[in-house]
Amino acid sequence: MSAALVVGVAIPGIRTMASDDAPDGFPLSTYPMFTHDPGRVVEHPTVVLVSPRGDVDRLSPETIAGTDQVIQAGVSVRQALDAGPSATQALCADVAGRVDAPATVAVVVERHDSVAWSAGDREPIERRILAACEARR
Amino acid sequence: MTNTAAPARSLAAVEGRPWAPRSPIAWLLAPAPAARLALLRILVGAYATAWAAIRLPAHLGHADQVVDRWHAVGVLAPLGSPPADVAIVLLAAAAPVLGLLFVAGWRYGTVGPLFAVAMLVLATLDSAWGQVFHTENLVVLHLLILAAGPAADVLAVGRPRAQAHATGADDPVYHEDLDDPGEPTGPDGRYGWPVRLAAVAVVLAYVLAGIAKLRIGGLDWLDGDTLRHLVANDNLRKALLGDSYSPIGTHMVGQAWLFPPLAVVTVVVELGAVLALRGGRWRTAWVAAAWLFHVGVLALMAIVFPYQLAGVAFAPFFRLERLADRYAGRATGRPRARRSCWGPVSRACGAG
Repeated sequence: MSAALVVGVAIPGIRTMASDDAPDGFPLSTYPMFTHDPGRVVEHPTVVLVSPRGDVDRLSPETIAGTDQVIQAGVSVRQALDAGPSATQALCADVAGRVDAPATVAVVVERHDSVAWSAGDREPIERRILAACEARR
Repeated sequence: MTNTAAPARSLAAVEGRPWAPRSPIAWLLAPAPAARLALLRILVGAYATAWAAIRLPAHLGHADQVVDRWHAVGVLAPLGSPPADVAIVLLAAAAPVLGLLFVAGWRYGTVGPLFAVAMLVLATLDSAWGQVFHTENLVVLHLLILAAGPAADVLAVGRPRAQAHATGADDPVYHEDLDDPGEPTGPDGRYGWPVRLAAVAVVLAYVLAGIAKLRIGGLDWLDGDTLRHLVANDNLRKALLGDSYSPIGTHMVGQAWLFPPLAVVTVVVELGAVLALRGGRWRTAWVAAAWLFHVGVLALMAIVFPYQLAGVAFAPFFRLERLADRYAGRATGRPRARRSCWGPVSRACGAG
């Protein structure tokens, strides 16, 4: 039993040694997080609320994807974008159904200089709107 | 388990270190007191029970997830779609109850594996929606290891209270009122390997994380730019998705000079995990460094590793039976086991 468990615990190590692209798993992980340099300028998909005046407000992971996990909310948006325009629009409508405000819900991709953002420059270098829908209930 | 006049090795000497001149298998299977394993069961089980209870709403929420987001890993990978809603609800609700029974040690042969598997599936379910989490790896591994060992031979419902020889404190005065002096709970290899394997799992997790950084990021990882960008990017992502982020981290990103030493310290702590198996000051120093490392991760990136921050992840490195000794001493009003029982051989202590 102990030998089998030792082998099981060691498997991720063998996979990590064998390949840089070894897939992650659970609970046996190759611990790929925090290994790649994301670079200073990054793009993130998200869903925002745009007021009639044009102000942009952030939505919570719960509103975006019905989860309390921020990374999973981001993954959900990414998956919708990867699936194409209809899935992106469906996400927009889904989120709009959870928003109780007279505003526009927009699925966007924002490009930021993460170091400049950390220093207080909150405006994105670029914001691309991929889907928009009304949130008014 | 009797005292003998013949010289005998102390339990500490028997346990030794993994790189003592004998095989790692012999080290792994060296005797340990039953109370050490039982206390590890109680600590890990209590943590996991609290986790399952606190996360209950999130676990129930999996039943409402969009099926298209299903991207299973681990034991759930063979499933092409999420489990039935009723199965998710039953599992989420049963886990905290099983956890309480696990802590109590009740019908451990059945409850132990059930709780470990329930936690494995629940935690895997958390990671089955496109993002693999790394905060519950160790607690699940520890539960699986504990479920495979005799972790409820003492300090369990229906079992004798922590006995002197079970904790390693073989003081004759404790033998006067043993509930079951014949109970085979003296130090034994079957109580040793699960605890040491749990410690090895911790070590491997950190070492693998360190190796992955150097293998994938190369030595460039140590110049600090990668870490600085990771901190900046992680906080940015949280902000864009409406979550709280670390103001300390965003402030620190502006101090570029801090990141090269932080990167080096990160890798040193991760690769240095093997030192914890040496015991003594090396172990204590590494555990303190690893705990501070997680405090740093929390401060810079608002990422919580609760199992590590609570200290439970590092419990396998310590002689937990001393806690039982203290409890026994307080409960009976008798002096607790003498520390010398773990040091040089004494006639009163024996070798177990």
